[in-house]
Amino acid sequence: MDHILSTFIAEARELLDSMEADLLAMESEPPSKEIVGAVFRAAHTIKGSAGMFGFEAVVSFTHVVETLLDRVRSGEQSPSRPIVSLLLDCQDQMRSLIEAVAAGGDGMEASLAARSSVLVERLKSAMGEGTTALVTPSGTASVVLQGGSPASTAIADDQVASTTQSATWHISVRYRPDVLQRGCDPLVIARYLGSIGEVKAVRIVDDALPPAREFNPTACYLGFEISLDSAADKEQIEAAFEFVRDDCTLTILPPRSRISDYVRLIHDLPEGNVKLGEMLVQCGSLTREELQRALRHQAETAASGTAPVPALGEVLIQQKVVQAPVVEAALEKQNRAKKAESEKRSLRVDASKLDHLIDSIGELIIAGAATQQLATRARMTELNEAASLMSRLVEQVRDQAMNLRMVEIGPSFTRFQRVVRDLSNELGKDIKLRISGADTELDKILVEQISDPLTHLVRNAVGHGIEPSSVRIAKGKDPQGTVHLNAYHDSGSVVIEVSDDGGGLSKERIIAKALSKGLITEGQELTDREVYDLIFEPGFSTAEKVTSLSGRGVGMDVVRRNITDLRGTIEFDSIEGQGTTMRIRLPLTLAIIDGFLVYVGRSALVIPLDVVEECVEWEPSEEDLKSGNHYMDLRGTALPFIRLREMFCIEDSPPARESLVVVRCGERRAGLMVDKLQGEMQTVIKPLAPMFSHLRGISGSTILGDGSIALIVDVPTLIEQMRHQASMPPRPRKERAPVESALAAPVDAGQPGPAF
Amino acid sequence: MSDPVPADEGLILLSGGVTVATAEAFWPSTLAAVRTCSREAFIDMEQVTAFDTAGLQMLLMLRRLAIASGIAFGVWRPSPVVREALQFSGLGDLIAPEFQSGEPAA
Repeated sequence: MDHILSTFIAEARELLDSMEADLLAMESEPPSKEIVGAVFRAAHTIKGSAGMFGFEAVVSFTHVVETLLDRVRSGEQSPSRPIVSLLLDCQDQMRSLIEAVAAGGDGMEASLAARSSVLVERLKSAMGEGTTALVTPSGTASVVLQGGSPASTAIADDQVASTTQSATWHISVRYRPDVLQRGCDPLVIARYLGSIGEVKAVRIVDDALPPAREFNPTACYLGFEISLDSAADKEQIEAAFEFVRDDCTLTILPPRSRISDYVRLIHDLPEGNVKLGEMLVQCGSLTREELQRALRHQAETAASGTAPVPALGEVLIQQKVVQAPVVEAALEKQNRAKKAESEKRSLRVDASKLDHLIDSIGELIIAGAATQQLATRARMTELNEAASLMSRLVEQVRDQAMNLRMVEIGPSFTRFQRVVRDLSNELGKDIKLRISGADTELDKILVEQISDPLTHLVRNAVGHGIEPSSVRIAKGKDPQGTVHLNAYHDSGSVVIEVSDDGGGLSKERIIAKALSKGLITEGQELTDREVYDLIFEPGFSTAEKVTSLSGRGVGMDVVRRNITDLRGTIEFDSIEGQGTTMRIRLPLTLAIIDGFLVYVGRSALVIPLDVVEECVEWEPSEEDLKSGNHYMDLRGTALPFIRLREMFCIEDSPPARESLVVVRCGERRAGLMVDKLQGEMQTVIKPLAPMFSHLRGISGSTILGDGSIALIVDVPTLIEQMRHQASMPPRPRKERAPVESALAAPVDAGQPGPAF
Repeated sequence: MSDPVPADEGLILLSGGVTVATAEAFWPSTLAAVRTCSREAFIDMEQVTAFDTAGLQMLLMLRRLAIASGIAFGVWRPSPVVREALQFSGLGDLIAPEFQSGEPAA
């Protein structure tokens, strides 16, 4: 029973997530029947399932919500902004009720019940007004479905409706210079348009006319901007240019009413994994010829290899062939189809089962390493080969198991639509959220743990980053601000960016504040990055006004600590007046990594392989030893390095020839000086016992094949520390991690490995 | 097409087809004729029988030169084919004010 209940709760949460996304979409544009239907079905399913478990509070509340949704679905109630806003509040309440059930309650708790009653009253009141004031006008065309696919019938009827309606198209043409010599006269073509509609206006663009001495009277320098009132579709209009299609750049902009028609037609297309271009052609916003051109452009870019291949949607928007809202509607449709397809083939598994699997694989890797060592020692060829094969297979199983934990970051990002909407409403700002890289995958545990820091950053961007519309207008900016969430993979890490197009960070203000708080001294020279890093100091705030919503401008130190705890880093990029980007870099996983084993004295250390660039042997000269400089000349570049022997207070003396492991973290490179390079190994990360958790420069430990322990080097922290030491007095040695003593203390054997 | 004829001080007469087929031939002489005008340059197009985009852009080019030289410019007595093309293209203002109504000035 518990299992069935947890399935109900998990499904209800997912349904509420999609319901919220659909309601937010309804708020920004006139909803399609499909979206309204999806919202209705979500509420209906939750009510039905809650009924099976006897959760009366959920059933009775959702029933009223469902009634309003049914009216919207039937066209009896208009999905106006206040109605959608009310539905969003109801969705929140349904979530609270479900969470109450998840926590062992029944949703009848006094505060919840009171809120349900208030919302039910608002719903009833909305419906009372709706039935008298918002009846569908009798003149509205209705579609009667008789046989065939309902969706396709609806499209056919819509197309008929839109083709019989005349509206103004805008046609913009720029000709190749030799078009006149080829016997084509642009004036004749413009006149021909009169046969498929009424040419309302023609404007000749003559900016391309050259100076008189360069003027060739048989070359065409003129562009044409034509307004055409026509009921024809885009394909018919394009046909007028059939004979000059290769000799001109043609942009056909549909009437505004058509854009919403296109969006509606796309929503009404039958479900299925349809290609983006095909969808746009089917709805009439793109002609086949335009699609071929865009695909050719994509193929040419791919063949040239000079730039990343742009997505088809981007090409179409850039070429002004299809308008952004239409492309967005088609992409949304495509994503829904993909999601539906993947849901059909997915299997819901309890996350703890996966954790156990990963733990077992971790043990298997350690046991496998021991077997491999014994096999090598035994010098039996066949045993060695078998052990190697097993090791490869274990590696494959490890990767596949780790993949099971990987989830797309998209759903996490989508959640912020609501955060941005609510917060910007409250602050009286006009802000939209743009999302890209939603399909970037990372470990589920990271997605969960990054949520709070990310919320803080998004709130900061909305609260402090983006200016009010009036200020933006005064600065000549778009009155609507944009927060952009982006994610991508970059050399073994996941990068998550929160950008805004607001006022940017003021270095002067940061420095002034840091001076007043005693964080820096007068006259101290700082790079841009060092200035921005001051924001992460405890208690620092750049906000002039503290609001309850955007935090207190503090907490950035907590954000950084949370991210550092995940073995990640965070940095700022900002251009004053143009905006700020906050960039978080995280490891792909927290459980098992590919490591590079090195030795300093008798101590084994593991450096995560994804940060290792190269290894260099180094024999210091007399001069190097005397100067004590921590810089070396690496092929003409000064590379700072750190001696792990000094860093971790390892007492024995170094060998004559040491090795340098060159590591990179983001844009920073550094060298780690070690005694001996051992080689690559699979590293199962074990957390350090709590008493060692304060040590800097060590992020965890691992067990080697022979049962001994190796510490995992925390490269980002070491690099950060080197940077600080370069500009500040050296840290007292007592704060450094004494490796020998850490090795002497056993790793918490009771811990099951990864810190899930 | 015939060569532009200076009908009067500042008045240049074009006749026949003013199209891509004839543009190369008459452009240099028309340009030269406009350059000789000191206060105003008007193109008499009453006898023009054919007119296309090449003719249109030639007029725009001449107007640009005239404006640069600080002299008045316009089309005189446009034939029906010229008038229709100019008005269709939104360039009716190229026609000298006294001929814009379609009725020739007395």
